[in-house]
Amino acid sequence: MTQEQLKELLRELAWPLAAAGLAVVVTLIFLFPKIGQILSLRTEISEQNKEIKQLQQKLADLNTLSEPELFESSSLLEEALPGEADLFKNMIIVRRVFEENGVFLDSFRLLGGLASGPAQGSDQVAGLSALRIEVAFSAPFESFRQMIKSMEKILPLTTVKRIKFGSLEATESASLFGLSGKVEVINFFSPLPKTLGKVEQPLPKITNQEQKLIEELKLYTRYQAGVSVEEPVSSPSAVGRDNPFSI
Amino acid sequence: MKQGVNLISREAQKTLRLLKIKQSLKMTIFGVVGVFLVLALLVFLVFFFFSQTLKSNQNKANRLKEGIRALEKNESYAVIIANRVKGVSSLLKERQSYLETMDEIGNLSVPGFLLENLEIDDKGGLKISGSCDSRECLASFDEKVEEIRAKKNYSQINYPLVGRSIKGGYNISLELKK
Repeated sequence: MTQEQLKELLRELAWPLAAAGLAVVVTLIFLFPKIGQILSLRTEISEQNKEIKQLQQKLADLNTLSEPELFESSSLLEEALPGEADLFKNMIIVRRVFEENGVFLDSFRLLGGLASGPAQGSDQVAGLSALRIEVAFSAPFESFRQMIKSMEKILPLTTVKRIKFGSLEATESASLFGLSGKVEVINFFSPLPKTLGKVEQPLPKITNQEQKLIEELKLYTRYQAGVSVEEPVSSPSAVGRDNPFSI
Repeated sequence: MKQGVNLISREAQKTLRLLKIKQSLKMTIFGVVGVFLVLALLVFLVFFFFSQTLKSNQNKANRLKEGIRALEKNESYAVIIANRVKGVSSLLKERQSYLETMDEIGNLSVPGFLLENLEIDDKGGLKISGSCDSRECLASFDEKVEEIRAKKNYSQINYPLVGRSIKGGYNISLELKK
């Protein structure tokens, strides 16, 4: 091939070669980054799909819940375990329970102030804060026993601890009739959650066992500032779904 | 035997070969450019499709979030319920019942026994001290203690003190540990 022929060949192939060169350059500076973007878009879309699925599930769950039922359950549980300590209210409730069972309340004393935060020592249970009151009492044995029984079935939930009998007066028929002593009454509280968290977070669910517990709590005697507001209901009527949060 | 004679001159043959090379080179280059164009179009189409999907998914997610926000009240109740129910259930699980202990104290009250001191600790353990006016009382008191022992509710049952009192009766001190 002569030099002239070669020149002619190159002249004729100039445009196609330029087009091919352009294609390579465009591929390098434009198409490759676009392909990278497509890959990241794909990942983003798959994450979005996952999020949409979660949101759809959450919305469906929320739609099945009945607001009155939820309100009732949350009020009951807030009564069982209040968000804040209320010494005055708790004292009135304790006095009321003592009176209703024929136990005479001589005096009371707040123990250890208002403990808060996580469990410290043996007086706090399950990470809950405690309000401890020492109550001096006098009562017949049976009344005292009945009071202990009542204390185990009231809202707010109350625990009786460290019973110490100071003087015991015997009678001819039975030597345990008249009791006087001190008892520690503990009420619990725990701060309420302040935020709902992210909207994508799944709806918190409760187990069937916990749902049963709520039903049980409905049978407890409820007090508001010392006045029994609701007599225990023998069979709570179920409304709506059986268990809106059951797993 | 016949011999073929090439009538095309050598020069013309070269030119023809060159033309063929040119043609095939052109075809190859155009082919490559064509493939590139198709590929570029495909990339653009996929990119466009994915961008649109992303946008529509975003809108869908926003609509769902709005729907969830509209039911925020229900969600807040559900959060409170889940939070409280966990606290309540663990509290009830760990709560000590004193009813049985009270029943046991009642059972220990035998004729002739005078209870002088009684303490129930936070685990439900008992410390009892009192006096019996006769040996019969002491025997029936011990019988009641044996009944409690048989139930196996306590890990340890001790008599730290059993002795005669000045009055002629018996002093008793009993410890029941959980």
